[in-house]
Amino acid sequence: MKILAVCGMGLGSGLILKIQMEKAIKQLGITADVELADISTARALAHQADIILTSEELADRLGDVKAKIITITNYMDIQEMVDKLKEAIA
Amino acid sequence: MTSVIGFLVDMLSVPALLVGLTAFVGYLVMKDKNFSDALTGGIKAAIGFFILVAGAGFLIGSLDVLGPMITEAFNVQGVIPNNEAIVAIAVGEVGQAAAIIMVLGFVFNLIFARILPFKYIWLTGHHSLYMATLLAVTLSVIGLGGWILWLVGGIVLGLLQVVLPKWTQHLATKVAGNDDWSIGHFSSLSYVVAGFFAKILGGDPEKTSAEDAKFPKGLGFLRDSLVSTGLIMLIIFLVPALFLPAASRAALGGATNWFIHLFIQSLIFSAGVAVVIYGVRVILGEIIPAFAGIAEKIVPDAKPALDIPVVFPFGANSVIIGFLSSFVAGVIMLLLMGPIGLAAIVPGLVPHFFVGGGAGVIGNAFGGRRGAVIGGFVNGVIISLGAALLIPAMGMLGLENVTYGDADFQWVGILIGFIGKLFGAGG
Repeated sequence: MKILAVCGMGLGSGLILKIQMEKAIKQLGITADVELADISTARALAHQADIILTSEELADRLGDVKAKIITITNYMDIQEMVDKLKEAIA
Repeated sequence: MTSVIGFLVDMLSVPALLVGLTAFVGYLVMKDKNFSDALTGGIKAAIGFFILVAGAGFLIGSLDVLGPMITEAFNVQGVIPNNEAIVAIAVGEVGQAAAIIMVLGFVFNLIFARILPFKYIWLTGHHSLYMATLLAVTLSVIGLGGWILWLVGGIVLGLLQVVLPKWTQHLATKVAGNDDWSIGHFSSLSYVVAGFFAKILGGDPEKTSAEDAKFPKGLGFLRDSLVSTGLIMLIIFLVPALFLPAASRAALGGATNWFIHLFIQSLIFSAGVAVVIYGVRVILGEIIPAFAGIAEKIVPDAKPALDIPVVFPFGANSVIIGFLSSFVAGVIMLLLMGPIGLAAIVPGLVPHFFVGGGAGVIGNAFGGRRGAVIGGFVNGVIISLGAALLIPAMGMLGLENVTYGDADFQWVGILIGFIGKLFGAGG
């Protein structure tokens, strides 16, 4: 499974999403690759991903993509990440 | 033996290899990564450094067109606050020192978080790299060199990475409602001052929250830095051209039409910034997860210090209000600063959006709608003044028409320049 972690520049907060998601993946015992992207390139990369992980206001900017979108409110809340990931892969 | 030492010294004097080696060792130290993870991580980080440096070529070419044009049109030095641009250009001069200071900064961050009552781990790696570069430049301008430069730079960076999140903790707590994390963004001065003025001059944060109003979401595209940089650069290249004497304007592009020539140059600048950002992402995508993993083992009780967009979900409207207000302040400062003899700081959309937006969210948490406006505005004033006052501390790099866009880079650089003057060092 491939997951795209997306923020504005693909530098700071997206990397936090990636680090947290890798923890969530481990906790659920599944295998997935998490890649970091900025919002400019995310749309082009979206077709290769199964799940896109981002924040609410950037989700609107992704437009129509076939990948499932997970939006995160509290970046440090690992439980929120685990719950939303579980729901997305169910 | 000497040849082995020579080999190691050669290796560490190439910043890309130093960065690659850091990622490699970082992964080896983490228990859950294997050798092949470490090897690919190291190689990717090293390549990322070369990508970053490649972006500088684009930026310098385009600035060589812009700089003289602004000077001829307005008789002032026009300066664009863009972190990626100044860092990419500076790394060409001080790459080795910047890379060493960044790595030492991580080490000192761990040490200080362990022994001082500032329990923070700084996870905003691109700001670590930009601050390391600033320290490398300004400390060498005031006469430091060699291992003293590296050590002083590393200690200062490590200290900033634990002290500033402590300074901004009350803001993060107010915004998020808990103190699980703090802000790790080198704009702390803007955020603290924004929170202060929003509190004393703002309204009731409960009754007048900006988030209760219905607000157009149309400006969200500005978070796409490729678009926002491209837009503002087009304006920055075209406006001075309109103020040139007709003959100079016609001569701009040689055989090419001047408008097409400038349009292309503005796109090249934005492409340069995009290349730099991509390079930084490739470097940090390997180093920061390794650093975070090591930090969890060495200082398990430390809190993470996070990049400013983590506050954006707590105030989508406030981000837009803060940005607009910050940008308006930037335009006012542009008009005021030229006549009093300071450099003309062209308002960059990226710092006004990210930092102004963050200051808006903080302002709203302390002072409602009015607080959000005030928060953004004080940021716009601070980063415009700071950008102009930083220029002398940057030495020869101050002539490059680009500078740092965030407040902490600015005050740290200004302070180092001031300390240098006290001791009569450098220029």
